[in-house]
Amino acid sequence: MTSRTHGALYDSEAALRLVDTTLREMTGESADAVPHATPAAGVSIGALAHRIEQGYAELVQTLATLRQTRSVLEQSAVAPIHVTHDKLKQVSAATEVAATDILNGIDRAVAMVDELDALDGQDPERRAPEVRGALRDELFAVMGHMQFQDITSQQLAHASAVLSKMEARLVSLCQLFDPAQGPGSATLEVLGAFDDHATTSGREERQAVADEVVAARPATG
Amino acid sequence: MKFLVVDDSATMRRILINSLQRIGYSTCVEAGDGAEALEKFDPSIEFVITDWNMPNMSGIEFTKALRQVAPAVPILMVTTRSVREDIIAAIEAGVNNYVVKPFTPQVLKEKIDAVLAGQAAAA
Repeated sequence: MTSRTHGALYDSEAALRLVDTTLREMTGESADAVPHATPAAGVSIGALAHRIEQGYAELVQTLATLRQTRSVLEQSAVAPIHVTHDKLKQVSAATEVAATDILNGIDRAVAMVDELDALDGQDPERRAPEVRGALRDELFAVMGHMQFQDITSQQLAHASAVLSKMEARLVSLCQLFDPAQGPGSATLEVLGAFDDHATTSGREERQAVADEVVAARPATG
Repeated sequence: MKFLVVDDSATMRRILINSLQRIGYSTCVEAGDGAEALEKFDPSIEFVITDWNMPNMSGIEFTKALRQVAPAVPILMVTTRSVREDIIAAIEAGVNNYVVKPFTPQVLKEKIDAVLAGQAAAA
């Protein structure tokens, strides 16, 4: 929690207390008085106008600090929610692409098995070994598509890290609003180690960058 | 040739080991993070493939630690990280070559061959 957050919340609370005190004084209430008490008879019009002006100033200040509080809440919650949403969208897209690739691979593999069945016993051009080789390649490519699992796991771990951080901030914020409740505790655990930029996209372009760096800086090991 | 495959994802370890078998390397030891890999490393291991992002000990930390005890063993980093600065950091830590995930078996073979050719030329 930033010092700005503490400041904004402290100012908001202080301003609200001042307004409350002023209003109670205007109506002649004590802190324990019941609502809707009859205004004190001794308050002059001039004093009343002064109190209203004072109350108005306090309300303006309170609104300003509430706006600050809103900005702090936005930083604590809205931005992380957008990051999490983006990561979930990436996971959704990656699983869609991987599932399509896997299904296409299985379709091609099934067609090759059908072709092998057709060649069974009548293969004058001896195509069966070639088809079997292609079938192995296809099945192996299907296994390669399963790499999406590692990448989407990292994207989900990133999202869980953002949510965990947001939970800790919100717990601190809640405590500021109600210090009497004592310190709360964040409970979310991050799912695992991750790369912030893990993606299934642009494999060839990213490998080209790696090749360029490796070519330019030969390993020392 | 005996390989040590280090990745916290069991799926990735399986894909890597299958890929290695397919290109002719059938002897593999596997580890789930850098710390476990350091424990399992012994002089009979002739090639190391490691991920970067792992719990307990990352691939970069593992590479630096391994270079202290095995300065010449070939190390190939296979990772999602593809920011230029990260790749430079990996090379400086001591990896010999770099494969970006998701990879194809062809790229994996190319990089293993390149590392082995580089080592043979240097010998």
